[in-house]
Amino acid sequence: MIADVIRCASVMTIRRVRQLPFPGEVLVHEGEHVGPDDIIARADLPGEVLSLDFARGLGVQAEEAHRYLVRDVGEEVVQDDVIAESEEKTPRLFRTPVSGRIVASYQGRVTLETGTKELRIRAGMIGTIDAVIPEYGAVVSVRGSLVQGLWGNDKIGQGQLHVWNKALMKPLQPSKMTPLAPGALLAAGQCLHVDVLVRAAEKELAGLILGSLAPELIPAVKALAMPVIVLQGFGPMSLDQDLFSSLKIREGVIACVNATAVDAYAGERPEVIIPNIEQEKDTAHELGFRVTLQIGQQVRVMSGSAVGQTGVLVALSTKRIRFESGLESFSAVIRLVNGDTIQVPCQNLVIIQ
Amino acid sequence: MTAKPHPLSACLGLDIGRVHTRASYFGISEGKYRLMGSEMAVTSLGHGLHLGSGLGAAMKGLEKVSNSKILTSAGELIKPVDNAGHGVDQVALMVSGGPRVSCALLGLTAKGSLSAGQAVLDGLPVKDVQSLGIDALLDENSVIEVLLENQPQIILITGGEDAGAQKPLQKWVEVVRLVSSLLPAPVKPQVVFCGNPCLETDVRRRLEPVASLKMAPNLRPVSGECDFVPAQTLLDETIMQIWKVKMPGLVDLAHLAKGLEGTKWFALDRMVRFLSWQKSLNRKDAKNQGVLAVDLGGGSTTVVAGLDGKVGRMVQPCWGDMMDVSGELAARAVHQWVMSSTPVQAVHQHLCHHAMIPGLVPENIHTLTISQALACLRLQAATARLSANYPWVEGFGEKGMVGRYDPIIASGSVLTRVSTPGQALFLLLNGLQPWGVTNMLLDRNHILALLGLIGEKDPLLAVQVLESGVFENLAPVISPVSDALQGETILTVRVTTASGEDYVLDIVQGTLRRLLIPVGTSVELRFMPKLHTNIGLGDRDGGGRINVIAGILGVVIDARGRPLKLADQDGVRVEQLRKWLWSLGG
Repeated sequence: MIADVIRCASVMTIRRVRQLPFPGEVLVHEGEHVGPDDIIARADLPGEVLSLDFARGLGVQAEEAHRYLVRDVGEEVVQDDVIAESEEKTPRLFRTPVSGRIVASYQGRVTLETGTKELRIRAGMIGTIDAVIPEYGAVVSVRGSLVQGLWGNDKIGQGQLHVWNKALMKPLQPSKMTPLAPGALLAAGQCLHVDVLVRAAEKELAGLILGSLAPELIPAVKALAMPVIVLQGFGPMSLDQDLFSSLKIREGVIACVNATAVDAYAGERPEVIIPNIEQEKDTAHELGFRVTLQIGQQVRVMSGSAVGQTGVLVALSTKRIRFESGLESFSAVIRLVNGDTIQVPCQNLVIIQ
Repeated sequence: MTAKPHPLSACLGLDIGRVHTRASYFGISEGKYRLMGSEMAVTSLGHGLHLGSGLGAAMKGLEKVSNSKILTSAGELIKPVDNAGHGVDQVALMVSGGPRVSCALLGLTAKGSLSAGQAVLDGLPVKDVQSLGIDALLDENSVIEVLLENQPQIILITGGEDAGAQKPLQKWVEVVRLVSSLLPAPVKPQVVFCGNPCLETDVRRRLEPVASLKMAPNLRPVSGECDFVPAQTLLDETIMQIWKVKMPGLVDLAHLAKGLEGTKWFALDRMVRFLSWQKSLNRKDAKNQGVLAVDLGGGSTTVVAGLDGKVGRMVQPCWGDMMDVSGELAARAVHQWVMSSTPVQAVHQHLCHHAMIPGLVPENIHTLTISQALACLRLQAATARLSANYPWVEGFGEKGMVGRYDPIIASGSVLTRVSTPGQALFLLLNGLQPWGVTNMLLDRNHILALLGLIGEKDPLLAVQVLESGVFENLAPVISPVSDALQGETILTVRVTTASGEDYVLDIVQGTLRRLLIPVGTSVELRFMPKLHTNIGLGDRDGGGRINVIAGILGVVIDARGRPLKLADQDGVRVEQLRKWLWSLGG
């Protein structure tokens, strides 16, 4: 049975491929240090176009207008260049009102590409360029802590990590943000009120790392400019002390949040990367997006009465068993952090490692 | 030389869904094709994984349940069948677990070609559909910029009846030509043209040099007449091509299938068309009676309706809206159907987790009731949209499913993994709210669509497996509909069974009754309606007599009214739902 992997690793070499969907220009070189907002690669996409009806301008039939064109598709033109002219009874010139490149001509119209849009691929993390992928991007790597989440609002940022874990079971209050300086990256337990989000924006925080989020706040979080990552789940739930303790020991350092949406096909999850280059040895390694459940793994329960709780997988069933709901499923026995042992469907677990 | 009676000795059907991968083994028993076994495993979908690993687990399980050998000791598929009778001759590959594909729809008018194009796309796993009509061409530059910005994977061009409008379509063709020529190769759209066929030569000349172009017959050849099948078939193929790039392992599996591959919706569509066509041929009295297939999968909700060989389909994502502004509204709507005392917030929380981890298994009563309530709404939403898209799909609206569909064949984990058949039937009745008489069948092994695919290679296999009683007969359901007040008698039914039982029942408005008749028993039902009750056998007040075969739940009479009215107060509503469920045995 395979299950999703959500990383919570203290020291490991984190490698991420950042690349364009089509060839462009790579702006970094091997060995270069980068930050989350640094651009790894860029490419120009045609962005603005202008269609010009030169047949009408010349007073000629659209079907025959191509005879009057004096510039070819692909040519660059500058403002006021003549692109078509008629030398019949009344000679007329048709000039382009803007500069650009002629990209099409058909039925008495030419289309100019007047501007491009730049596609930029950012590093999304602090790190070093491990390898360049010519024309497409690069592999960025860093040694550090990796904490992945369940959901993110698709924003990127970095800031000085501040962990508020004094009362993890209590919802975060706006007043608790008063001492924070702009640019702080706040990790806290539960966000259940919209006031918290308003205050975070007012304080110009760099981002929020939340244990859980009230589901009704999802639209408000999506509208924020700062990255917000939800580590454990939605709604009130008991929070993972170990998880926040692992963040607490790195308090004060610069951490990066890439709150990307989960994409199973691309293998992406929202994540917090806290560089720790002083450490010489990795204590963890890459696992993959989903792996086989195994005894001894740290897991989180994603449904039922123990939702959000973590524990150790102590047994796996070889046959489907029947649960209270009457549904049958392969099951796992989990010893929770509080010492209780529960049996849950394997499909309701994520691996935390 | 005579043809072999059974061209295939054994066939393996593979169904790769978003959450589960199923493997089904069809062989020959007593001279006829039969389903020998079916097994599932979690789909090995995700970066770095190969679809084959989940499939391997499903096939190993299949060997056990079917007591057959299809894999070598190294785990390779034995193909073709060897001298010892091990292995399979054919693999059929059906996929529904791929990512949704972004689309742009370019047409003429909102009520004409755009509505037809939207109906086509609603039957496919697409997302972010940009629908642009002739009015958008007033600002051609903006349209081009929007398409360049969004980079749809598929562009569907439609509009103009046969020999109808050409100029606006030509403009669209030029727009697409420009967009295709400007975008870099990896993000160039696949273009499907299904508009006025008079333009075919022009379209080919203008688009083939710059885009991957497919041509399909006009969606609306004449006003009021639509034909979506060829376009949907082409789009199904296009989506499979896109998925082969996105899903590691799919190309290898397709190689095994040697062309016998397709999306689940394509296959289900074909099967429902066949069944509805067969029904209209075999039963002249079944005119205007269709066949309905519903599938509540882990990744999408599918409803396919067939009538006299015509087919309409609807595919909707399960959880798409939960992580958006409409999530809270959706949670409130689901809460109305939750059969336990669960607060709205808990419903919303569970639905969000389900959106993130689609394979969650409801392990307690609370999560089970949420998942079933959601399933009910999924059916209501999909059928309402289906009815809006296909004028001939009668009455899936606020008042339930007015048109007659018999049988209704249901599949999907939410239905097939429930612990009691009563739960499955209850969910279907609440979700579809049928009128009149219909037989509810459960496709527990999820093979209906597979048979549609395999039928292309060996129609006999599909027919013989269908005839083998491979679907579970939940119950014939009679749904009398009346405007009478709750508690009034709306129908008298005389029940005569083949075993000699004969009794008369009064059916009261607002009730759900189950007649305990052994499964497989032939039953004659004589209806004597009262108070303008419609039992779907003719005009209101018209009685009638029918013969049905009792299902696992016997015969069910659903006189709760249409649409179903739920109590406003939470506690009362939960009791109401529970009481109804207990009427079906819990």
